[in-house]
Amino acid sequence: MSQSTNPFTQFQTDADRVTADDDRRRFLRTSLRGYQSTRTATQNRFLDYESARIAASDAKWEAIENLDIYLAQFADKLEARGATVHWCNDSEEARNAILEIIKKHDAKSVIKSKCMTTEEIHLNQLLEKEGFEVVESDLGEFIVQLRDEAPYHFVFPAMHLKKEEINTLFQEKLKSINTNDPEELTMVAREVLRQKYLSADIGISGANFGVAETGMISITENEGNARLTTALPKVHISLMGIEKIIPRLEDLALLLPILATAGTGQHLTCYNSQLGGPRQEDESDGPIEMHVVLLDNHRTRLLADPEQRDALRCIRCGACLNVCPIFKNVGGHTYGTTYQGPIGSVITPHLRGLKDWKHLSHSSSLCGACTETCPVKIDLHHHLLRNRRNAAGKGQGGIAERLLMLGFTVVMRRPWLYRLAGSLGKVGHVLTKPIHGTRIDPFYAWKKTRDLDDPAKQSFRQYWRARK
Amino acid sequence: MSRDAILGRVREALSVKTDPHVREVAEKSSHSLPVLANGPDGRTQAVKEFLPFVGDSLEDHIAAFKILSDKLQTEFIVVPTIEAARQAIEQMREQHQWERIGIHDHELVQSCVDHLKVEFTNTSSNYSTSELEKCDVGISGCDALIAQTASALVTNHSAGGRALSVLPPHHVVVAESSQMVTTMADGFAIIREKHNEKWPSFISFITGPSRTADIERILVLGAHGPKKLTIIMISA
Amino acid sequence: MVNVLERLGHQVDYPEGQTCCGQPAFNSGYFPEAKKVADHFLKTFADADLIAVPSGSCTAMIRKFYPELYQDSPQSEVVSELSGRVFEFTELLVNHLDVTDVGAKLEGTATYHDGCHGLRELGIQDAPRKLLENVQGLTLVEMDEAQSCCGFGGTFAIKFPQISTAMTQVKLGSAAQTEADYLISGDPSCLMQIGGYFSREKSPIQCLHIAEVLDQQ
Ligand code: SF4
Repeated sequence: MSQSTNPFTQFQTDADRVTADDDRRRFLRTSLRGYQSTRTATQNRFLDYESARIAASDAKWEAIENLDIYLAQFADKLEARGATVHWCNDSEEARNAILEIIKKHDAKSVIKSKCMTTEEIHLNQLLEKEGFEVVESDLGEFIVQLRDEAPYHFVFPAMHLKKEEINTLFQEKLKSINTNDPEELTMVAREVLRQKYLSADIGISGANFGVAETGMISITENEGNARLTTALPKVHISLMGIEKIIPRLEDLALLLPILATAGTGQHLTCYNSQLGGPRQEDESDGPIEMHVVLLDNHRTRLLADPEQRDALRCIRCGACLNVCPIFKNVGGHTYGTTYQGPIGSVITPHLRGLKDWKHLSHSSSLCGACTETCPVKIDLHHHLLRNRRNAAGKGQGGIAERLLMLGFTVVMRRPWLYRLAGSLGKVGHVLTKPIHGTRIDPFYAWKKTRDLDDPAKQSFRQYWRARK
Repeated sequence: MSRDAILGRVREALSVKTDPHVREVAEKSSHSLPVLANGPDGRTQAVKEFLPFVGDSLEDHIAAFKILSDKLQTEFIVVPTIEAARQAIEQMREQHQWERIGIHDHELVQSCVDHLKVEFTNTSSNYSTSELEKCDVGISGCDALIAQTASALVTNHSAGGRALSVLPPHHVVVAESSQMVTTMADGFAIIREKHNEKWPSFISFITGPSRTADIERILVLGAHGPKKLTIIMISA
Repeated sequence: MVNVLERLGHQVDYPEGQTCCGQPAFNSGYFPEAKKVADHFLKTFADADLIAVPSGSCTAMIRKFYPELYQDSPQSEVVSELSGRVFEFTELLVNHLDVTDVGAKLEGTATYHDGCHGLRELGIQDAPRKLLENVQGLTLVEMDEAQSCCGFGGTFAIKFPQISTAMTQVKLGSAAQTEADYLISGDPSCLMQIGGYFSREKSPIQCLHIAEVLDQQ
């Protein structure tokens, strides 16, 4: 990632770099093509995928539109089972809540299973600064952590790396053997992480869903690292956004297959675990304490938007990234956000401010592939449009753009001006011929990579008249 | 308090109704949804009617379970009697040279392993994690087998805690054919009934051996959990 | 388009006062500005029985987004009534006039690019293919990226030229694989993007609007 502090400049610079890297783009395309074909096959096994999708979408609507009730119920039930619920308004409160628990237990090492929300609050940085050892246990997360990088994709964190690069990384950081074999590389990581599990005092996980009815969190994974994280250490902390709530246990029977299908093309991921509380009296293992940290961090601001609260229904399957032509061509790091791709472009302006992040809503051709694929039917690309409208309404587009749009309206409402502009355009085209292809050419941004046809000699209107 | 502050903001946000236009756009589809019952029944019904069809009879369920198991690389063995299950396990012990086995207090599990001459780690009461880690296999029961997804549904009660089914490199589930149900929703219903709302703190659907595809999207088994999953079903 | 419709025996008028549907402003987020242009459109086309549009994108603007622009406004009824009379050229032919063969001839192989608005906002997918299959001498070969965006996206193409171009590069690769002579689409703006890039890259593939193809005798 570039060091620039301005998100827009950083986006443009990184986009320049990645779009120029044909090899990496091809690599991404190939791996996502594999996703696409397994997903299609899995989807085709459904008796009626479209109806399943609508029913899943409905379950999340119900949760979001009654969030106050379900959230309170979720917390009460969990506490009744002996868990502690921490309500945090923002990142800082969440970080402090977690730090306090760790300090209270005099812990040394922390093992984590995949949790994007901890990325959102920059938890690792704080814990490391405080002198704790923090280890990511999901293989992809472990790899990017070793590289000191952010996850590339919130479902496939290391999808940008080739096995040769991982080999070099492991040799360098883990003194491992020289191998490009994914299986051997995975076993290297397994060995290293096994030891960490056995010694870790604290396990930190995320949550894919919070079941209000029963007071449980549900975690979806393939590797078994989340299961170990929530089974072995004596304290389990789960950090989750308040929007993860669903009404009932049975909703999982629908949402979990939908999440897997859209997320990875599997019919169900390997482990889908529901955890409600610490070890109970009649149980033989599990953590002695369970803490659930509920995070707002401006989610209520998004909830307050009656048009876009829709986006809080996201189940973070990552499908919208996998089909997004922007993502495929600029990659995950270019976004500079915790949540990449279309959903990230929709929600980041709400979570972190429209002014700095509106460019994400403009860096889209509004092709709609995301909306088409979203398993819970979030109106993604239209939300990008709504963000654009909101930015323009606040005058964030800048004076030049405003004037341009004013000019556009004036011309388009007056046919004679429209015709005049058409003729002027032709004249202009001829007059500017000498500077075509140079930086002062008004069409420079276009023509740098694309030709522009000379305007037709005769406009359709002139043709129409002649024809009559 | 932050709880009140957050719930207050949620309530205030929701006092403005969702833009009907957005909801309609998001939901609009050329597709008319079959009528679903309200509440949990509706979702349960959706799982049955929209998700993959696996037939109604036990034979159909077993067939579906088998097909998915092959795909998942789960070893799914159907045996006629407990005696046959004992033999199957004995064969595995020989083949894989098991020396230490993780088990728990579970009638079916016990009767399948009591003849084995190996060391046992029982996880039904306080046990040592490092000892369990040294086991070659963990053998557990389950609450249900799910035909639609080829999953074994477990809780800390049916599977000897949280770790027995995930820490050793091989997990063997023993089940009876009467435990086969159609959907995950049916599985939840069984746990609901069994524990009468006094939920176990851990419930999990185990669907195939542990896996990852984090390196170049290439599938590798045994990322953190067991490399091998065997489900032995005793048909009545 | 006019030729084809007249050949099929329909009376076509071209209101000379017409300008633009307002989409450029709308897509940039300038809704009030777009609405002013839309007002002009409504006036110009008030009397038409059916409005045929040679672009999926403009059709989508009028049919799908005008109602959003005019919601809660006194004109909302006029708008929703009008949006029922607007058709993209190929859907008009196939779905409303029941025509799949217009008697056109063109030698060669072609691949079809689905414009995103036509495809995803309007659900147009089969109509153009049916029409093309019936063009004498023309073989249709699908490219695997047929439904991926070409990279135009209005001001996006100017604001983020590097991404926009990268997307078209993918399109070219996919089209080239089919070894087609023509790339055909129902959207002039896609064709401007694709054609501009193909021509810069000296690709032999010729880009044509579907109306041009159907007009070939
Ligand atoms: S927005 Fe939809 S497609 Fe994208 S991650 Fe969320 S649920 Fe998945």
